[in-house]
Amino acid sequence: MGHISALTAWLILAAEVGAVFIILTTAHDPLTVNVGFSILAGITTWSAIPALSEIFLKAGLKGMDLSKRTKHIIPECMGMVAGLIYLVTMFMFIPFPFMTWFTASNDGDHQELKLLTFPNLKLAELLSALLSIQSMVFLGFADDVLDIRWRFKMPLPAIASIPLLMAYWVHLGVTYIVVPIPLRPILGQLIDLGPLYYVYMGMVAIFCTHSINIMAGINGVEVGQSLVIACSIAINDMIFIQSASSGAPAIETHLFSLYFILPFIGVSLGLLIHNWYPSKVFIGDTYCYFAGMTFAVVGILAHYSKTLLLFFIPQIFNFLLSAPQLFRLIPCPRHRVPRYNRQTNLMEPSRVVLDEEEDLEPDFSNSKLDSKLGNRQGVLGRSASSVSLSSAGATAPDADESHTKPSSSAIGESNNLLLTTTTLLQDFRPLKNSKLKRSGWYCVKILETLGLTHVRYDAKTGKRPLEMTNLTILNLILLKTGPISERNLTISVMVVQFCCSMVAFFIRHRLVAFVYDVV
Amino acid sequence: MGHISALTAWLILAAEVGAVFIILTTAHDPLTVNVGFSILAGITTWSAIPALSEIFVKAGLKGMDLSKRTKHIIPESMGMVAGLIYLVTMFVFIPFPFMKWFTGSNDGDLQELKLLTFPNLKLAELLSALLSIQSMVFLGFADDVLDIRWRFKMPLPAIASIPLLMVYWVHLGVTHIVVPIPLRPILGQLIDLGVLYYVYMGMVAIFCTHSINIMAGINGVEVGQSLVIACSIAINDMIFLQSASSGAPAIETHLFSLYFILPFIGVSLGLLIHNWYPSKVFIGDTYCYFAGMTFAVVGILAHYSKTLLLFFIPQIFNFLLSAPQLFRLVPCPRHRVPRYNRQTNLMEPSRVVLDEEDDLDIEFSNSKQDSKVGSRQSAPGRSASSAFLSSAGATAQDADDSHMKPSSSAVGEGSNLPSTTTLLQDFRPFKDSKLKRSGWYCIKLLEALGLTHVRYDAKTGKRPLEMTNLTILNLILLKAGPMSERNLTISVMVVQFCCSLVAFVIRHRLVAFVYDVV
Repeated sequence: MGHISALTAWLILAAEVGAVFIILTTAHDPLTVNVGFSILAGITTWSAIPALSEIFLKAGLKGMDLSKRTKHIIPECMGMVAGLIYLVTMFMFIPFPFMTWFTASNDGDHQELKLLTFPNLKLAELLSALLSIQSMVFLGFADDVLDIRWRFKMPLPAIASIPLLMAYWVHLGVTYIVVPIPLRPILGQLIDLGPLYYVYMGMVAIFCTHSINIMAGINGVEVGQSLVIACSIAINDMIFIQSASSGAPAIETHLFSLYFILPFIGVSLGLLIHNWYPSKVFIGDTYCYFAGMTFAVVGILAHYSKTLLLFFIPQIFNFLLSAPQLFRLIPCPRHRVPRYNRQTNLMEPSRVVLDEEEDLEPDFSNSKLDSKLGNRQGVLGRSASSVSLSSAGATAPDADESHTKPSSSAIGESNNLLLTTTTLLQDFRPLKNSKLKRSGWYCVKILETLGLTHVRYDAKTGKRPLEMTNLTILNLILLKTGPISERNLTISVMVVQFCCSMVAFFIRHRLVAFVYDVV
Repeated sequence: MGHISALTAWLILAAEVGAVFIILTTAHDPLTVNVGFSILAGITTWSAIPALSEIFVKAGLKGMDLSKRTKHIIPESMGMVAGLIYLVTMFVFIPFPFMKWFTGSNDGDLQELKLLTFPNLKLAELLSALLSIQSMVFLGFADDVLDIRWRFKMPLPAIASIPLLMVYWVHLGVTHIVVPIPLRPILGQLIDLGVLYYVYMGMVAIFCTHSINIMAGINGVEVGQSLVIACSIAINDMIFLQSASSGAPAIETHLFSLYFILPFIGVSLGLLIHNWYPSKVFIGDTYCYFAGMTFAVVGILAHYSKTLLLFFIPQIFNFLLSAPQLFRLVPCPRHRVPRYNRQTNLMEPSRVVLDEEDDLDIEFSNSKQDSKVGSRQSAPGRSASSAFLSSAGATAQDADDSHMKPSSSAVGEGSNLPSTTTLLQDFRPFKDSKLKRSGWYCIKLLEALGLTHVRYDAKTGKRPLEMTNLTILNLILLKAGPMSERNLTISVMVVQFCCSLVAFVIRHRLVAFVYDVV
């Protein structure tokens, strides 16, 4: 349990007792019971992680945190503990939303009447949601242990969402979407997407899962962003539940969503305490998968997948920003996490080599240092490693074999520079036959104009791009703010996420009146 | 995929095409669709395992098969692949039992009527069953990776059965059992067990899971016994389905059970091909957990947990036989799997040292060899190691810390020359031999029943020095003499099969004497 003060211990005990008290006294009100369970789940996660660290280390689930002055091995894949505690909590919670149907009197006739009115739909939804989340935690853990290749990893969330989609198909089968008012003259009020709706839901699951996974790599950033999203979802649910205008079905679906999100917030907080800078544990792919799937599940089953995507604005932005690298228009090194500067103890944007240096003397030492740093970054945790491979796996089937090429060739080149530069100097290449593809060159130019990346050109012509900052939101933040500490970078990401949530709330609850009838 | 002949490849392709054809043409009949899915699941498992072996070995999930002349490392925990394929198959199968509710016409009124008659209960049961099985596969895999201690491992099946029990509580809530006729004058026709019924179901889950896990340790024996049990369950279901006398509810619950068991048989067969002697993969705890939970789930949800326990006769016997060692009345070494004789290439009963030799000169060399062999056995596979710690973890909190003691002290003593001098001077009667009094009675009783072979010291002929370990595998070897590992697995399967026949007789013939319905 580490060293905690007596006061903290007492506070925790009080919270535990309070949670149990809430659960016991308010069994009729599922929401307060859920709050109680969430508190317990959070405390359990917080206290279980240090206890289990040793077992994980012994099992070889460990990694080295390279963005620190003093390096030490810490356990990896601790998101599995959070996921497991979350699942057990939810298992325990299953009967509570249905308490009204089977407490009270026990006489036969009444009982039968109750069974007739029993909300089977809700129960099946609850179970299928849990089945999907559990599938994802399981697959995430399997991925952390077995290190599955990207081409297999990519569709895992779709597999995990099968139970959800099946239950959706069997039970609800609502596949139409309400058309925004401006488009209604053309498309009508409702469009039935049919099977495409299931594809859409599968894509939501895949996107939610992997988009968190590609905004990763520094202490606490995955859990931090997930927490902000989860809190946004919870607040949005509460707005709907409180609002007088929302009908009974809306209240029910948003309650359902709250039941899932509150324990998630609990276990995430418990995990974040240990994953916060300086991390004592890594969370592994398991947590990213678990978080993404939880969001997808509530978004799909509570019918607010569009609102959900509003809360994912930074992730969507990060994905779009990364796209040129993910789809290999621009070289993509294995790891794109910001690089750690040992001298200043700050994080700096990491760079990708686009082309070889031509004038050896002025810049050689610098370039060598860069590639060395880039190489050193290459070990930092698995969750980071998955990042760049992510969407590449979708486009190129052989991404796995090729993903090491750019960075390794860069290293090779800087080492062989003395040999090759001689030939290179003779062979002056214009932009057209630089290593960069034409499409990549346009990308670089556009991104530079938009201020989303910093490009270093060769000294001679000033036109041939040699290096650029990696295209991730983390590097972009560092580019705009200058080098900051790892902790502040995580905080910055959380602030960005928070501001985007504010925008999302504004869009969802103010601007929506212009395009939809209902608020 | 290894080396398969062109004929086999064609046959497999034909089976796959056939299975897909069945699924596509008979979408209205869930049972045939299920058969199609089972065939596909089996073939997928069979072909996925060699493809994934390398990944498992690379991830450190590997073990050495010590009961072979040539030792090599093979991947461990392959039951996880079977479990995963089973789960995906079942996920895809979810809508088929409900096809008639949402194919056909699409017009609004009829649709609504259909929704009203929709068997929500069935869907919730199906989902909760899958949730429980998946929990167990997940926990089993976590156990294989993390090597969880026995005290934590023991209640895992109970945790995994929470979703099942919760849904049972919410939906059915039937907690009474029908009392056998002879007992009715005393207890009435029905007893409501209330909360105890849930405890009972949790115990069924724990028992099914761990009882397969303690009958383990040689190539193919876990999958083999599970297959026989699964086939027995499937046949029992079919008997109910065919029987004219069974009502609609019975037919429905047994159909439900078949939906779960047939794909299980499929993946188990696919796994057994690779796990059969000589094993190319180990199955890990994952498979034992997965198999046990699948049985428990169908037994509980299809309401035949008592019949289920009849199919577990060899496991129950093995558990009772092992009890003296599990509860530490008799010393329990870390591994009790039969020992491999390198000279003959046969398996022999493994022995546990009960007390030190007294007359050094005559028996020392022998005892030294024994303890050496005993310690060599200590490494094969994790699934074996988990076996006996099982119930020990329940009784003694510190079982994990102490379980090394008996074997290590035995090894230490066998090679410890100076201590024998003191031992010779200190002649001890049984009463203060290392064996507890209760243990001594156990041994005497088991020996009288012919369930173990005890070697006594040469001098008095009364002090027990060694006995065969108390497992059904050792017992079979004791009765049949040393045999090859493959034949031992076959023997276990034959025993399991015979017990299933007895179970059928009890369930379908003798039952008339104690219950009204057959």
